[in-house]
Amino acid sequence: MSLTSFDFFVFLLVSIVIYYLLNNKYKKWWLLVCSMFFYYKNCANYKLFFLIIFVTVVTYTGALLIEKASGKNKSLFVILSISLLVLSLLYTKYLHSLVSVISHLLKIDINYDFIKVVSAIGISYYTLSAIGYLIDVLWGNIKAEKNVFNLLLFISFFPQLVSGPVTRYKSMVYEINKEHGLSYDNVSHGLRRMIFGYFKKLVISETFVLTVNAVFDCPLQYNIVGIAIGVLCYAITLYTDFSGCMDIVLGVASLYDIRLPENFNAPLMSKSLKEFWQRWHITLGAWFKDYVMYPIQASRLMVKISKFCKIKFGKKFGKKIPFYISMAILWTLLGIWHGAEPYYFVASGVIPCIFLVTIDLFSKTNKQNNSNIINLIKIIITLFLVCVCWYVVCCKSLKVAFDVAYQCIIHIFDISQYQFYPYTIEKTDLVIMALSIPFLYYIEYKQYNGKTVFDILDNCSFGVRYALIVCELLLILYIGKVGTTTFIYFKF
Amino acid sequence: MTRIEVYERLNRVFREVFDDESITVNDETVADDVEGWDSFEHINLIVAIQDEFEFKIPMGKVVSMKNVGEMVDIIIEMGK
Repeated sequence: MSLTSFDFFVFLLVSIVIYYLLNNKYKKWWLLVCSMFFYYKNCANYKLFFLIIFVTVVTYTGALLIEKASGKNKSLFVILSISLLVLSLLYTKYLHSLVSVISHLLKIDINYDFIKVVSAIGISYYTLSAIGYLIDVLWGNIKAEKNVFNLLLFISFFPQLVSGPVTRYKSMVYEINKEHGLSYDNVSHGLRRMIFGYFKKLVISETFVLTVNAVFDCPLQYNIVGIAIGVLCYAITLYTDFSGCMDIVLGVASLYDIRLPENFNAPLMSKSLKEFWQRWHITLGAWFKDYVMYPIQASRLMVKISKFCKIKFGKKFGKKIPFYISMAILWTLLGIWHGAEPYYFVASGVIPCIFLVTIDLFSKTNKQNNSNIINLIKIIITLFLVCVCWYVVCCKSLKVAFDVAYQCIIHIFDISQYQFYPYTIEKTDLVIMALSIPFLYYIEYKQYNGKTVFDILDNCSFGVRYALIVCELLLILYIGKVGTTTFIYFKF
Repeated sequence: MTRIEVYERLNRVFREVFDDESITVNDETVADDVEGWDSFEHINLIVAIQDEFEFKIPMGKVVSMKNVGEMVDIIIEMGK
């Protein structure tokens, strides 16, 4: 039941009507029923349904034991619970690929079909939420939940199940348990946000992806300009796909009067790579920062390394080394989270880490406000660096990425031998793409300066606001690909 | 420890971590008010504060503190 399917709209409508007919104390149980139904309908295999139950039971039991225990037993229960959660993630997401890689490297014939498990929807997201909950209980930030169904709802709340955002228990339990009244503002905002999300995904993303596929289905036919155009189109595809998905998710949640955290904050306007990763997939970055990076950096071992490095290499450089070690661990885990394939690991982990460390080593803090031209150059450079990572994703293999890059470089002075652009792209799609880029950047610019597209709409008159929404709907219905597509981050 | 004593020592820590002798923090100071105080430098700051006051701040409080005022409250509480 994809978020773009007709089934989903019917499900949503029925779900919301009943939700607001129910007394407030029954609303969250209805949400739980809907979430379980949504999860079941999206399971490729009925056995995977029990995976979310397993994760919930482990998390629930683990948290209660952690809270009751003291001393070394606390650590034992934490390690045991988190290990079980990580193992379930590894089994469903990575085991098949791992055995495939081992079989290939060792050149032995292993029959690993029996462990081919179709990846469970959302497991990468709700596992993180569950682990975060356990760690918050360990740290005393929250009390362990006594009602397992409350926890199950936190883990399985259906709008966020597909592609996040990665939520924290403390804020979600407040949102779920507060009084939920039917209000024009929530419904209006939710619907407007959903429509905007569908517009970004079905009109913009699905148009740009045509160029991406045309280029990267046979990349060796293209010169460096063609490849660059392909990668830039992928950047727009990915951003509008993922941020569009988040608009839909947050819009759906708003219909139930539940507020989820934002996952994007104008990343395309970032003036540095560090800033970009703080504005892109915000909840994932924050999760890894709070639950991975901080504990590593604050650990006794890292403090000892820091003191040793400061004595050996001086204060300024000495404090950077433990930071770089923590970064390496952080980006390794982020790379693994993004996928079992080596190219994804390199694109999502290795390359960003190398770039960030190199930039940190050689750049100086600029305390002055730069001119618009300098800021524009910084934005372009940042986008270029991010596109280098995404280039590897587009190629879907390290070997292809290397071969294409090699060809582009050695033929840089006779680029006319190869294609500049996929000439099969239709004129209407070219027009959509040409109009989308300034539109997107206008939205990004406004959001970077504190005004979302919805704030802008709120300042328009009623007529203008609804005329724009009708235009969006017409474009979605006329040129959007309704019902046939899935979201890129759905596969994690 | 009084609040004033804590701030005297805390200002020294901030100036050393961020390499800026002009920094003076107060209860309302947040990360946006100090150049270079981002999410990565935050943990360096915490480690330096732990070194200065000779106790370990619980990780739960590290990730949840909202301003320097809360930081000072934690330091005073840990110092008891």
